[in-house]
Amino acid sequence: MFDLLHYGFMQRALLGSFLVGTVCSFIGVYVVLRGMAFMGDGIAHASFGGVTLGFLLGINPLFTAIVFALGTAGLIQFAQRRARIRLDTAIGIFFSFTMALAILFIGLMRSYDARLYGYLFGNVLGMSSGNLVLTAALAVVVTAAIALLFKEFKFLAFDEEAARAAGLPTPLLSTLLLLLVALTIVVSIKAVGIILVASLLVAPAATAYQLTNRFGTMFFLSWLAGVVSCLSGMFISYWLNIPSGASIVLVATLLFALAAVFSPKRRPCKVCGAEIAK
Amino acid sequence: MNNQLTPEPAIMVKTGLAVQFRNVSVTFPETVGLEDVSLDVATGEFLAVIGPNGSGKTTLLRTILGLANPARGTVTVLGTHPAQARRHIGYVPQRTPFDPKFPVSVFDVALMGTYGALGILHAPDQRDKGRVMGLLEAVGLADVASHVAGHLSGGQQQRLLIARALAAQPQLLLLDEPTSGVDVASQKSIIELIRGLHDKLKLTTLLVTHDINEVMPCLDKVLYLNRRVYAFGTCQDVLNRETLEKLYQSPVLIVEQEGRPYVIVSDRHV
Amino acid sequence: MTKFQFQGRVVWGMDLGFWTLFELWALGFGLFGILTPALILLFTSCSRPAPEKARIHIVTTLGVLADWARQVGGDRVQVTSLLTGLEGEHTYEVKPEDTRLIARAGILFRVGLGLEDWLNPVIQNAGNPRLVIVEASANVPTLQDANGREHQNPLGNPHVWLDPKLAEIGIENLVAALVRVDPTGESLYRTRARAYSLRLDSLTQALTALVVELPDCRFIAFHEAWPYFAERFGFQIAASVEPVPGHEPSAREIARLTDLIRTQGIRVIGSEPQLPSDITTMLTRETGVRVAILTPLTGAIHGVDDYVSLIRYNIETLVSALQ
Repeated sequence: MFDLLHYGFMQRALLGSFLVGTVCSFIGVYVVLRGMAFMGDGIAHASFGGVTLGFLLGINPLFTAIVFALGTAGLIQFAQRRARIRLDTAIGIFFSFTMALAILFIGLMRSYDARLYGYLFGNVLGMSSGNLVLTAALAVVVTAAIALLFKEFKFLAFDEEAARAAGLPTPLLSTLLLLLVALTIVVSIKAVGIILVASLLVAPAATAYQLTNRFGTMFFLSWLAGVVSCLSGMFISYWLNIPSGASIVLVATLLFALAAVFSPKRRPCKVCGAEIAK
Repeated sequence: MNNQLTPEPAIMVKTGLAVQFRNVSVTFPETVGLEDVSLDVATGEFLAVIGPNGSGKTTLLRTILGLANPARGTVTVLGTHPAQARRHIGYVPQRTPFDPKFPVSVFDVALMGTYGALGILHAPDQRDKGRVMGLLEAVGLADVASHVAGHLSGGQQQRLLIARALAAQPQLLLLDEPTSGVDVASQKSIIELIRGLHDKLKLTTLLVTHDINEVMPCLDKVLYLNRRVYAFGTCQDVLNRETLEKLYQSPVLIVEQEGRPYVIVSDRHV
Repeated sequence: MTKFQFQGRVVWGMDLGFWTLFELWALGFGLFGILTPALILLFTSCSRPAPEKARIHIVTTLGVLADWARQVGGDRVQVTSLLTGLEGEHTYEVKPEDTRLIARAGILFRVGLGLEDWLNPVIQNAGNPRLVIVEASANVPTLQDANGREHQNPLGNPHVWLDPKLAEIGIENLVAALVRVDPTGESLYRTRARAYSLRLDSLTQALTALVVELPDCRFIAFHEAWPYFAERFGFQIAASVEPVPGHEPSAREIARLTDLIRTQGIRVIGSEPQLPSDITTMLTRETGVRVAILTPLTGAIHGVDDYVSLIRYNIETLVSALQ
């Protein structure tokens, strides 16, 4: 069973999915607390536009994916703040806009490139050392940003208005958080694919949310759920010969379901007796 | 009260005025927020801002914070531009209930008040944490410090917001309708708490409310606001029937009850 | 840093205020997204030249078949191929102009055996009742895939054109159709077909001699295009990377391939320009196996534009990799 660890491609795949699970679970805490799940999905689909453009032009698709992800995040924010369009409307519009561009770019390609399938559904087995280095670098950047701005993001997530009134540069912080989410998504596309990356962003953090009332603990539990999902998902995909992206997300969803059912938050507060309204 | 609560003056207030408005107008795309408002608040004064709903009271506070920009006029706060003064202002916003599932404790929320002043890369140290704990004691929340913030009652959440605002060691305290959404018994204790804090800390305080009786007996100055300034001055100047009737556009009766004046506005709940 | 502010000014429903660099860039990105499709569409609209009236119009699916048709028909035919060679023969996507070509064609020359099923709706829509359809695989004895695994089409693996002997049967089929459509050209067609067949025979002999000298003639094919080719020239296909073209192998399958390369000492793996994949590169790095770039279609590799070059190129590439 564990002889599969002898293969270089498997070692890289496990390490890569570990890194992706880590960074998704950290950023996922903010995605869940600020209700950015739809935004995450929108950015993921927007990255597909970037990937297809990269294939069409013969450029590294991860690079064009980042451009599209950041650009779409910026446009959504622009629409929301300047044109005062509702957030979910803005996301819906730019999401479909970039998907339409993706379909256009595919139509302009001479022939179907099977590697596109890998970007849609995940191709962690094809991870090269170069991919791994890039993933590790981005994981470090995102984690460092979260660590440095830990208290600022905490205040931002809890009460944005009060944070601004207290002197924190909330528009800047909010934009920075959005950019970190976009970067995380692009990095994770290789592992789980564009269609599933939003779930890897949400499920581990949502699991942690069910299980704890402490902010710091939420990060730890989210990380645990993320890493367990990724590693066990990879092993399961090998045993059962099923796609790795799917098995990772199925494990993550199972963990969430268990947490939701056995959640201590669903019972009245032991200390203060408060009934949870929602 | 211990020394931890005394704010350290970080800005030299040159003119002795904490807040100064000169002909300030604030407009929004759809409505007018404030129209030609002028007022002065001296350091250490208590200003009650009274006005009906939608009269621009919140806009006034936001303008002081630099969150709303005046189309006309000048605003000076603590001797400088509002945005610069922001980290020396404690703001207690109009309370919206906390998300009961958000994973922060009461202490966490109070500590957040220090983040603006600390800046990036500096974490709160033991001194800051001790000070915040003292604030929680002062507002009567010390025994629930490790509870989930969202589990507190309305009155308790309001006190927490006050503690958070004071955590920044501000030189100016702004309170926006601190008794809204709070049960009647707690309302009184909250107002007493605020007046007590003002008394002990000599902190310049602006309290915004739609109910004039909340701020009786009157302290220092009163401002009647309904987009424009209807009256601004000391209690003696302003607290009389004629001025009040002009503000409320209704017959007004001032009654003495246990040595305290009480305003009754006929056929309209204030 | 000075900030230029449009105080509370609203233009076209947008609240203008201080614009960050990021917002400007995002706006630029948005404009790019709208302009790019327009520009691309402007620059890529091109059409194939209309065939002349005097000749017989033959439309083929593959470039290889087009080459055969030109060899046989000479000046009496005008041949167009649908695939340019850069597209995969299994994954080709029909273009609107293909329908026009089929509508005006006299003969459609295709491989058959289900390879070009994607063409069936086009043939129906083209509305060309006098179209003569010729299949290169008719009367050809078929093989299944390597290792006896049954091909997707139960009738057999369609890549018959890669065996020059079987090519001759396909050419015969075309000649029969040409004679039916244009009886006056019969002697020309038969003479040219015979000459070409002789050429193919001597080519096969010469190239087989190269293969016989190899100590080890095993390789891993990329997809199941090579059974007939291997059978004719004496190669042995140990396994396929993508038995179903476009479907990348799972972790277990990659592990199996790795094991096969290591334990059986397979030294060469094929890659094909029509089916780009990261897996071959990865296997190379992992095991040190050599990559031979093979192509089942003409037009994909520079200089490999006709059938004879195609066969020669594939043999020579594979042989040199196996040295």
